[in-house]
Amino acid sequence: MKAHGTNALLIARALENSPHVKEVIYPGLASHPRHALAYASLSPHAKKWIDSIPIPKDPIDGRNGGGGDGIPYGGMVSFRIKGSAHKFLSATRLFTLAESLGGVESLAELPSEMTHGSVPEEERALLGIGDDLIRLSVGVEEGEDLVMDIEAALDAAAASE
Amino acid sequence: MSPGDGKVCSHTSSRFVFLPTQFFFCLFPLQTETFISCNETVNPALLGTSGPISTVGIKASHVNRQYPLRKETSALLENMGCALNPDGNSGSVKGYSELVENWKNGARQPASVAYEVAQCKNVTILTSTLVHKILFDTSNTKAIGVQTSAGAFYASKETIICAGAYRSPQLLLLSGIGSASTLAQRGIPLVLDLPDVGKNLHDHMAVPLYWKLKEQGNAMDVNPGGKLSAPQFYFGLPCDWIAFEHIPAVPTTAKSEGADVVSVRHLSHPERCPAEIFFAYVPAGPGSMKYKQDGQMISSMVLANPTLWLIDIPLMAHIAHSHPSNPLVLVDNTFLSPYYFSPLLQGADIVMGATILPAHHAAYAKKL
Repeated sequence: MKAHGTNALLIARALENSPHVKEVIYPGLASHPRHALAYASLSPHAKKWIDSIPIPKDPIDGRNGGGGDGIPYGGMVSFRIKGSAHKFLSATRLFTLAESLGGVESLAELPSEMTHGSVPEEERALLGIGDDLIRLSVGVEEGEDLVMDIEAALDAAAASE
Repeated sequence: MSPGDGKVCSHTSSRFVFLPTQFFFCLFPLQTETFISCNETVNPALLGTSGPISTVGIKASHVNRQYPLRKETSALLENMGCALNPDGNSGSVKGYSELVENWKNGARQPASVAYEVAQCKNVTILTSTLVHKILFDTSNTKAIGVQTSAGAFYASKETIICAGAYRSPQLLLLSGIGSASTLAQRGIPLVLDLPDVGKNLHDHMAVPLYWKLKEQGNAMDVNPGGKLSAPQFYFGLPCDWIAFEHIPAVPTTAKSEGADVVSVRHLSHPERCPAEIFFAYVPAGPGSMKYKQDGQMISSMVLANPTLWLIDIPLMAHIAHSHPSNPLVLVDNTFLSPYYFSPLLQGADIVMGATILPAHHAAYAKKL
């Protein structure tokens, strides 16, 4: 569970720094509007661990996490892509296209056509489930590999525009 | 009123109102017309239109104050033999009428509030002041004031007793107005022999019964339209009709009180004590709390799927458990896992976690 969280935080930061992403949703990010609630309501054991670790540096841009840049907060990350979601999902090599979540392997899905495809379009619009929303379930692979996979897929999606 | 005693201010009016139980106050010049009528079913000639207390019927109070079973309850009452009474405030309550209330801006209007007595500079309110009796002039033909625990107060023109259904006749009896034989029995000097004083109590019994509806949207529930701030619930009692049916004159006795003869007691008098019937769209009255409103459980994920909005579970549990219906709070913790979040420590009652499916969705991958 620790690896899910630290990897997800790395991915969320990479997405936040990418010019190809409109919005990243990960309550572990310090920029998330409910980040304070996420930290305050952590389970006691998770809080103990998070307070004790140096938050890993971002392997891509070398920023030091240091606690101020977010906390590991589970493995689920959603984001809104600027380019083609279909291209992104076809381009990932480590993130498998699947509706499932929470496993050791990283997965990605397109809620508007997959998990929430049966929700009427008007309701999806109300819920903020657009065609650009991608949901990731971050696994326990090497974090740096996962970040590079995401960034390469983002580039591919942007190039196809 | 004696201006020198300092407790009741002097003012231009010669009318005073005395409330003998806990307090009394004198009132500024009474409006000749007490009520504002803004409902077509109310008779303006009877109630007037210029006073500070407004009365209004259900439909006229707000355009959106509509209840879903209006027609059905009306038909039900007609089938019971209860006829429509176009104006229940016209002198006879018999039949069923649209409920007319003296609410204003979401609150009932006690006379003391409507007349702004507390803000009135020429009024003195005495609390914890018991009124013993009404004082009369030497000829015993005119009330001139009241005797209270704080001394005697005199009115220059009129004395008005306003002490409620029970206390007003009691005060008249204590003052010597009532049945001569009753007063003689109690050793109260007779002022006026009026045998009916205290014998015409009009009362209306109400027995709350509760139904849970099959179509729950017809009552107040947790659906989006069921907010307490909605006009249906904010402007008064949430009901359409109020009906009065006379109770059959069944002889009742009070053997526990030592009565030997079975008799019709005036508290069950068929003309004076009708049963009041109305259908409210919320549980109300004694015992209602055990009938939970709809929404006996609130369930939520911690992170909404798929937008990952973080739900404030501690706040949600706090609100849920502060509500009288005290719904259970179920939290789906799948997205965070017990490692990152402990719902029970944050106030949830039940926790669930979904079993994750094998990570395969080959069919969709092919489609792409």
